[in-house]
Amino acid sequence: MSVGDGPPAGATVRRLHRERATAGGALHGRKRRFGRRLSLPHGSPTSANAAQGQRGAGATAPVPRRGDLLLRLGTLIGPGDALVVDGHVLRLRWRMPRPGEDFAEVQGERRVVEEVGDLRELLTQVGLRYHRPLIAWANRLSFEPALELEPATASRKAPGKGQSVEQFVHERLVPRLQTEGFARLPLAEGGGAESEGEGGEEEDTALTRSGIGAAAAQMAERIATSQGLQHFVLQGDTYYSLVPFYGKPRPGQVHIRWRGVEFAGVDKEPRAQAVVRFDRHMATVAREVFSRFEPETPQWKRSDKVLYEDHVHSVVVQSGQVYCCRRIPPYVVEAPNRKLHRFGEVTVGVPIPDVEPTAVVRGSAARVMHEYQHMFLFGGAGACICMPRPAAFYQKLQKLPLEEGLVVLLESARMTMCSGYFEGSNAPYSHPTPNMAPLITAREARAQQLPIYRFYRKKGSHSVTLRWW
Amino acid sequence: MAQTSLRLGLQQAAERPLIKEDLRATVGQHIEALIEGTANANVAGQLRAALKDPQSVIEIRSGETVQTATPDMPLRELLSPGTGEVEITVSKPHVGG
Repeated sequence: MSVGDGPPAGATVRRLHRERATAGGALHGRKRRFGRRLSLPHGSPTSANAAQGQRGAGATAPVPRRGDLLLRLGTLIGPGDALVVDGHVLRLRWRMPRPGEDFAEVQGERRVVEEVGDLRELLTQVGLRYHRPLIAWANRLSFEPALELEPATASRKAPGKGQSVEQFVHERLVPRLQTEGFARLPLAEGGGAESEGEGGEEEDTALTRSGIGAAAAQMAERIATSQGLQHFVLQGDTYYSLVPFYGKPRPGQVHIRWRGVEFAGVDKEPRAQAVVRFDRHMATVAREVFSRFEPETPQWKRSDKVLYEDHVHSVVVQSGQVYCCRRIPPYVVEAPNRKLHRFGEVTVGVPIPDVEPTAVVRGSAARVMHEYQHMFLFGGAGACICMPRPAAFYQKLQKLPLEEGLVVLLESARMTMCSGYFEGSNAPYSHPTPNMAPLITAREARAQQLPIYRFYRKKGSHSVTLRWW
Repeated sequence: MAQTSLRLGLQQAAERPLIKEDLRATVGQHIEALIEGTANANVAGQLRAALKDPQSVIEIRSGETVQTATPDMPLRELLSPGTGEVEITVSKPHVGG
């Protein structure tokens, strides 16, 4: 039944509804029909609260289910019909109000109202509580840990070679990584996933100091005051934007009255279309606000062993597989249209199933260790980095000691991710623009001390040549 | 006095203290000055060839900060007298697909 679309209730029907609302016994018939719906959902405001007009009750940030996008109108408001007036989010229930219950008149029919909360407050709480995943998402990193990159190996021992992978790591690889010089630099603070503690005065102070609180408030303010989100009703399959109204509504016009204030529907749009539009807008605002913050070290699984770690390199065991990894700090890539795109921090790794170089240093070995989006990646966490190289490249590396080959391969992976998109290569033909990463100005990049890897490096060249190292 | 080092990819090529006069030079000139100090003729040749290739990438690392540069860029735009250890890396193109 869609109130908005049917003919408006006549005077007799409206009188009957008024009588039923005031005479409790008249609800009996309705009770039987909508038996289940008469009990208030757990946690919703009681009739006493509603009568006292308590606002802000229950305005807690919604807890998203796994896989939910954090900023979806559906997640904030909840399912079903909803009314938003002056930032107050109200859920409309399909039942007549009991005496003292808060209600709204929608097309002359009274419907119980449950206050979800203040939209600004809801958005602020989402921004505060989920700032880490929002920052990671805004910087194009996924907060989800990498899952099952490789099937667990039964044994880490290399068959027929006499030296196990673990021996190789401790006796050869780690000493080699230490000579790179990065071991002298301090480890990034707070790089682990040890603490996920929320709440508390210390956390609040930290959030305030770091600017997260202001960012969350800014995001909430911008979204809550957006056109179309200040007053609207979602009724069935339709969205109506509302304007304050006084007087007699036109026949068929959506008319809503709540606590003495009247609204009329002005614009109508399919609900699904409006929701997608608002979701996109919220995502845009959130990305603009939270991309200013630096994400923490990618939250990939740290519960497995870390055999070695310095400022840049690490050797880890994940799902039974040993990986030699390299951390790449944020960087900027120039697009063919000369716009700059900011890519977040990424960790690339090479699995070490064996101490035989031909089994390790090979094509498609280098991969990202977590969810990441980039022109040269196809897939989610664990996606291989597309590094087109002739066979001679890998053959040359395989002739080196394995620890040397690994370091060189990881460096090549780093240079590919950062600087592998340039004029004169095949890359722009496969990937017209690095638009998966947010835009940044040159001034902002300099202020953030980010390296800019240029697309245009030689003037007047339009030849397509495949470069290899 | 801060040290400045030159690398071709991962391979160390040269190293010497950074002097005030270096700040008047361009990146390319400074790299050339460093190349002259290398004993490895093979690496020196590869570095000169990479410098001539505009698709090569020059990175200047100072502490945790990395910047890209071109040979004609004045070095003073990238460094200052108070800059610590400086590492210049010249890399041949690494194309992605």
